[in-house]
Amino acid sequence: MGQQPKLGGTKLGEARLDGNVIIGELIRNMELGRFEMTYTVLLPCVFTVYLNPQDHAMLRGVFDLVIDDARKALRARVTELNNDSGLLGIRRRTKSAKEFKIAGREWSIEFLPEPEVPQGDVEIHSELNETSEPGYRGMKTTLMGREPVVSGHRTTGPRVQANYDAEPVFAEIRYEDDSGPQVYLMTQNRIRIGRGGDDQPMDLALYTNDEVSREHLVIQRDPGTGVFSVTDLSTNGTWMEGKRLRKGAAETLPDRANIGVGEVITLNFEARK
Amino acid sequence: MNTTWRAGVASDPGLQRSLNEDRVFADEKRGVFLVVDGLGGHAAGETAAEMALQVLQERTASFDGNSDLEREVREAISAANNEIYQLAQEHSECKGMACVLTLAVAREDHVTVGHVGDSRLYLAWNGELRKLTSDHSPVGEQEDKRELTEEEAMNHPRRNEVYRDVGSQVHEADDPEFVETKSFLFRPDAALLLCSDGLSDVLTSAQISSIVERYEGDPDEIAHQLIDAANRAGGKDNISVVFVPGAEFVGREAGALNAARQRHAVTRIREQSGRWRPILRNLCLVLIGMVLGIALWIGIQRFWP
Repeated sequence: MGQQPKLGGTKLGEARLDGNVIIGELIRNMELGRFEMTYTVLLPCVFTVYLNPQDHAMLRGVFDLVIDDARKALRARVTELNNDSGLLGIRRRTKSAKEFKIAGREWSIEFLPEPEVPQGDVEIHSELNETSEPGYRGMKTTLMGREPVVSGHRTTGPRVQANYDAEPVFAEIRYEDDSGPQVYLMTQNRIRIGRGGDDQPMDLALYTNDEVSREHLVIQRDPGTGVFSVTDLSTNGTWMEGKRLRKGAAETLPDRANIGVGEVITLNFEARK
Repeated sequence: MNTTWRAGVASDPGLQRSLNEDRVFADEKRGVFLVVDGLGGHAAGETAAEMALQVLQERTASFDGNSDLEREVREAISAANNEIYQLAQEHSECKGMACVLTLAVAREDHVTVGHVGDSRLYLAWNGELRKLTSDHSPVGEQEDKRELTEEEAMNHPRRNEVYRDVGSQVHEADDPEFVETKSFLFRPDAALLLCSDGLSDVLTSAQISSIVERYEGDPDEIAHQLIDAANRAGGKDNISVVFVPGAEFVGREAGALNAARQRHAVTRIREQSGRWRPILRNLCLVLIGMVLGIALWIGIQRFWP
């Protein structure tokens, strides 16, 4: 989120990076990345600080000193948060007085060069502890409140394909609900289809009337064989090529099929080989 | 039918730009909602956005209730396009100016959308947020094809390129490579959200949805919460939103609804009123012990031979 686009690259004056700025940003990031629990507030303790390669090269020799200072400042801030005193310095004993702490013994701070970060800017990623969940990138903050150093202007241009790692699409489902014609690309081995709602998030959420159940059917793909199956879970029924499916029983789905959802919507299913 | 719509409207320059080149517009009586985003990097992106706003305001005010709404929308956007182009031809400092826009016109229970570029129209219903417009940008197109994940697209360095715009070249109203139109049913318990890419480039659709689902009756509140969230996430571009809840739309995370839900499953911890209660309880136990002791003693005295 929030990465600066790389276009243009015009600099508006030299922005000198200050140690206080880095430490201030670390503290801000730590506070933004808090993870509230009933009695405790966990604060992130693993920080990765991205600097413009030039800034990084300039500060390379003093990173250890910056880290020492930053740890002191972070520790001081946590103490301050824990002693959030009320009137006359007496600590209020309220139910909301939670303990602030980190899920590690010490703060870990690492500096890395990143060409996308403008000179004079700091981008910080943080994690609650060393073993973060895969995919969870923690809190990210960038220094704000100054004129953009890189121009992020929109340009009109021709349609060009940029090559990226594509998510495999297993199947394509074309249908028309009350929001108009839609195409859904199946990239998971199991998708839930229905109206959704009541805290039942659907992978393919149909915008239609209540003849369609909240969770109406499930389409599954066997990752080993690549064979698809469909299971009806609905009140008003699911049809495959005109034949009504038995509720709760998985039925093999051919590579091309029309699936009737209630009597309202038809899904044109097509496997991609 | 005479329906009056309600819309929450907000626009903000963001944290990294001093100029707001976005324009927003909502005519609650006519059911016209619009987000325009002037293309920066071009001369006079703001002029283009302003011009599109004026032309569309004027055109939509005279929309004929009986004719083909999709056609009217296409014609209105083409008119704005051609006027911007014309002005740019006459003034060299405006050469190449352009904007992108999403226009939604609600009529009775249907909405017609005209769309060019990478602003977006979302439909919120039943706790799900659906993006109903395609992004006319190389990155957005790849995201729509699932060749890029939402996060990859949001961080893509070429995020800012669009291949359709309003103003950089002359277009006919029925040019299939120009205005994308679609019409759909606007259920009373659904809501529309129009936004510029300043919102969708920094917030995931799940994040946008969680804010929309906080709606409890004040559409402006949601519009402002969206802007605040985008600014907290970096606010790297101008941010504009128009939020139009249907008459029966209630957010799933709305306080009132949650309170009602919680009432079904209240667990209450018995009040421990003060520190006297445990002492009293112990005192009671001692008293009961004493009474039992005395009773036993009397019993022994009486019946023991």
